[in-house]
Amino acid sequence: MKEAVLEKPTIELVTPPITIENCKPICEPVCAPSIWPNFCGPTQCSPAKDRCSPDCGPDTNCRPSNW
Amino acid sequence: MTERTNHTLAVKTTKVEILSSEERLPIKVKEDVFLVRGAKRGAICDTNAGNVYSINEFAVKVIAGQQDDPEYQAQLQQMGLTNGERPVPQEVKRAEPKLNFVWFEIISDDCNESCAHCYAESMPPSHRKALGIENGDNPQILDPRPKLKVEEWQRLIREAFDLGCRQCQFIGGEPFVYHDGGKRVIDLAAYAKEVGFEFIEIFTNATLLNTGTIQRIKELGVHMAVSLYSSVPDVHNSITHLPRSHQMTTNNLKRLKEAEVPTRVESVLMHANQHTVAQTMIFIDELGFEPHNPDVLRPKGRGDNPEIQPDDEYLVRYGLMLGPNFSAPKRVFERYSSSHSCLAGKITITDRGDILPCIFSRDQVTGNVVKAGSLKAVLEKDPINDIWTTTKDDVLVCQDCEYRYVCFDCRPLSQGANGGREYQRAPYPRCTYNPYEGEWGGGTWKLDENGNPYYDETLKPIIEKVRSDGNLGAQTKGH
Repeated sequence: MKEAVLEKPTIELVTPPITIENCKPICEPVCAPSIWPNFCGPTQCSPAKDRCSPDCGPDTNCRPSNW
Repeated sequence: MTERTNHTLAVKTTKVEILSSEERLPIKVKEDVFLVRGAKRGAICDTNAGNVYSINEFAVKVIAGQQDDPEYQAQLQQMGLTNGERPVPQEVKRAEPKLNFVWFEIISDDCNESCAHCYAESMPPSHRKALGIENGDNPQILDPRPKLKVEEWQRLIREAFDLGCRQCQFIGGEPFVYHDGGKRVIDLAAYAKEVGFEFIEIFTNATLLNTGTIQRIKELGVHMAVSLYSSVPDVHNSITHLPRSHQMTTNNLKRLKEAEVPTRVESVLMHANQHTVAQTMIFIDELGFEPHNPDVLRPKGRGDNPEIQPDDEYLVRYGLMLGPNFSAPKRVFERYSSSHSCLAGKITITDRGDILPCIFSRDQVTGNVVKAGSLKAVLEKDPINDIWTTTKDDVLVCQDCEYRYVCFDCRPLSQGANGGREYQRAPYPRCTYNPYEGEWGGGTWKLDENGNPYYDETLKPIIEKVRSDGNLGAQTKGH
């Protein structure tokens, strides 16, 4: 027996869009130690590029901004 | 393996909802789209698009099939997040990580600098002598065991490669102080290159480089990582305790730039340099390197000293997660749910042959290559594999958070912030989210004297101030 919905269900996107403006913050180390190499590197994450490399992520050690 | 048990938790003396083992399972709502339940709210992780959505508890019930809301269900279908399939709980399997990165800490004790915050507590031998600490005199301060010889380092480099590792970093102490049998760090880097390593980096203070060394670094294609603590010479030198070190480091950064050596410049935020952070980032930019926020001091080694920690406002501004900002590419979701987001596949080898899960995890020795006879023998044992497969499901508080499979984690930081306790379970200290209330920015998580987590609201006024200034911390810039 399903309950009646008393309140409205919500949904909110919490992923920032990948743009020139926020590319660098996304790839910027925050919580990860500075001793970590960033294999993604400035050549791929630079705002000069139109977006972060699709290779950014745990394998490249390119840290998203929430790390 | 670590025993994974449920726990009880009180927040503000009120009992809160703790997820059961079954509730912790992600629910597949469509191919590659998952609902992850938290104690209060939920998250939809679309691993195809990489998007994460925050949903309230009523939405969780609708998606889990416990409530009906045709309008909402149609909205989700229109967004491509569901397709009418019945939601199915997914068993989370632990991964079997392979070695993929090694920090070769070729010189743990010795450095020409004596930084205030050094995790390895390195310093010049002459300083130790002045302090009355000489090799073997005090085993609690200086490890009396013999250091690995250059031939042993070469054997370990070869063995790491044979085990599948292709990325490494040479670190210390100061790696350019290292010498043995006429060999220096650059010779070990050359050996790693010859063996087949694809990414080789040297982490250094860059004070000891000369033209010949830089030329060799360039020829080998070795990457460099350089510590610079401030644009202000006196501030930098007061941290390194080496007169003129700022001048030596910046001069060599310019030479590295001229030689087009791939170099990153890293800084650590602490009380001594907090007032110069902004200008230091500009300075690094003007030197031609990519500036980015400093790494907030981790309480390890000499860094485990409250007097050198940055003031709370700087910690909040540069170190805390003040709002949701997550992404969920498939491999992130898969990796974080099955192994440790940071530690999986990584090790540090110290100059006495100890294997640590990371450079900051000084008290987590998971084996010794000298005793074990080989690197492989250490990596086959449980301790390192147990750490490699620790996930947020094992971490207090995080295990009840809906973002647990898309959020980064640092175990030595969590342990260090909690008095060195609970390496694998201590709550992550830089998150301000309270998953039991579904709210951000009210405080941070700590362990009480009995080892139970509590939401410490000490920083709440500062968090509110930083948020009202429009600076949501380094994590949410550009969001």
